Amino acid sequence: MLGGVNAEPLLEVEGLQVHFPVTRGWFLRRQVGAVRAVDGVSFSVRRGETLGLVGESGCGKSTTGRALLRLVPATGGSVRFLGDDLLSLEGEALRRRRRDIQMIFQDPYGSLDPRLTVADIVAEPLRAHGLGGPDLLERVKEILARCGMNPRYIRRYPHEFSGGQRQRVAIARALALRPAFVVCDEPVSALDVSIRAQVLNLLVDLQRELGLTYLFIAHDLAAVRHLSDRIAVMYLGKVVELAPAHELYERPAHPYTQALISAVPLPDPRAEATRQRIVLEGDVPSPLAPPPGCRFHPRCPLYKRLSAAQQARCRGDEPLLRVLDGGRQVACHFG
Amino acid sequence: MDDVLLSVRNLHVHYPGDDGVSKAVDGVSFDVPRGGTLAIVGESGSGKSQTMYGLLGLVPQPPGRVFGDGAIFEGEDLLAMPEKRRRALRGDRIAMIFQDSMTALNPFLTVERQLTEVLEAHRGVARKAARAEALEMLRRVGIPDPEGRIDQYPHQFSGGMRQRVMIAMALLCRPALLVADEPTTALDVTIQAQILELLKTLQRQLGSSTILITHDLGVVAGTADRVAVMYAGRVVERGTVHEIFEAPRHPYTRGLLASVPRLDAQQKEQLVPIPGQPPDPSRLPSGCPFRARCPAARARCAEAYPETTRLGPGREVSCWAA
Repeated sequence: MLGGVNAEPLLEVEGLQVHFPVTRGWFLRRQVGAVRAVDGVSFSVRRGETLGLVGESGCGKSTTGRALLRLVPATGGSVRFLGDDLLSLEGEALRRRRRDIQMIFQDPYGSLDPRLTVADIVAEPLRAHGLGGPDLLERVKEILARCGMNPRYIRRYPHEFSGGQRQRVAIARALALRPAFVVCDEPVSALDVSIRAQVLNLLVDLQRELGLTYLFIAHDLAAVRHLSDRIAVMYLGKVVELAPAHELYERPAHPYTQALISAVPLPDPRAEATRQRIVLEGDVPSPLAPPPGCRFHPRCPLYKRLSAAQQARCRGDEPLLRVLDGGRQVACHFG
Repeated sequence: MDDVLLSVRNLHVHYPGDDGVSKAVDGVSFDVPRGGTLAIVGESGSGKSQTMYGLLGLVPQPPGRVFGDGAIFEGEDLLAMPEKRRRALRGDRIAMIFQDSMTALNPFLTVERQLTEVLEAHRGVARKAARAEALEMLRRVGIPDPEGRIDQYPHQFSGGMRQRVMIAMALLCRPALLVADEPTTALDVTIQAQILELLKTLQRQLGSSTILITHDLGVVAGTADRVAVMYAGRVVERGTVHEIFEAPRHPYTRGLLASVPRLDAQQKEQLVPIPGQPPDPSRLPSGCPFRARCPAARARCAEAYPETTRLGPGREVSCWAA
């Protein structure tokens, strides 16, 4: 557990929904359906903690992160942050709030403007918020140094750096405004193995030094476990389980979490040789038409072992998150 | 050694550039065990994929240059044979699967046409018999309802199913050697588990050998019998999967293992990153290319590339400090 975690929630997400309309026709465009990318997601993030958000492609984890920052419009729910509802803020109030919430993206090649120098990339958010005073350059150098970049390089352009160094620049840019809350969306997935640990360690150090709160979104469960205090697991637009990081690994309650954990390869040939792997059948269904009841039931290993009456419940009733011992939450009728 | 299917010695793949020759592969040696899996592990730019392109004749020459002391596969030297012979082997005795199934499959042809074409070209099987064999192989790789899906196009399949189609295509001619270049990197973990399981089962059933090219140490630990670790165009260490993971000798191998977070860690462990970054292959430093990042570097490391020390059969390390 990282030091300084306070029980007070910094961010509270309640029933967040992001549906993308699917339209047909070019003249009389009519909506024929919706991709239910995020479909009623609730969680809170405490001040100073890291909440991990894991799941496979298309589960809605990135869309959730983007909706918090209003980068995609939410179609329902609320996001409370320090007393404000982020989803209903407008104009100047929204602009001011944005200083406190920043994002680090996966691709350090796409997220930095190739025409700006490193100094300008990091200074841009400061200028945009009217903080471009005479000490601007000093502040830029300081934050870059804190992120492990030599301040001598501030006149260089992104293409002159490796992926790992670019990600350091992206982190410096995100932290320039001293945000309270940072959404990290797959921040190390695009990096080479030997560089990933550098950036993961940097994120941990910065959290400690600056008292940051993270939402850490990634598909790599090992990296998420390494960084997170608590972990939320998403499947097809829903949170299916939320638990302290070690408990999620030691005692996963949801059959999907169990399968996910058993599928992660371990860098240990002896452990691999003796491991019982739960191999899920089939693919993730389309979020356009998620299965009725529990969305996981068509692939669920537990479902196959249930009685006909129990199975009918899985097909008919959508399981809600319920609280187990130790504050764990799981959305499964029988898990 | 008749338990070795492919034996590669001192392979080079060079590309001329504006500022000197880029040595993508700089003297690589390894053996692929018959009926087993050799994993070639390395990061981007280490030369792991270029090694395979060089062996399989997929490096355009010129401008590239492929040479070495030999790559003996079933008694023939892959490096010395005429291109026509190599082309006949590819897709037949040696098959390949890639990370990106969307570019490996032809988007304009149905799955049926792509699969039957392989059998017609290499085995001269008539179209109708080829279709029956293709259906059988699709069933074996776990595609549900193969009769209903064989006439569809690649884009109508999900990523995991497309990967299965590519595996089916690769295995149609029952190759002796399957080269899998990051076969599961683009897939989600639960689908990755399905595909790795499938590859293992098929290898057992067909008695084929596999070269697995990957950066993922977890995949290696669960799949490989033998491992070659590459850095800056060279194999820095090789051995059995247990030797590499349990008694690594090269500082780079040790560094890699210490820098990956483990899902089964008892408590929050401190990751020990490898400092710095890999060198540019067209501007390799003198001596050992890892020395700038190496905790064990000494004066000698700048003078010459370390000699390869033989520690046992198939167990080698190239490091002055090991």
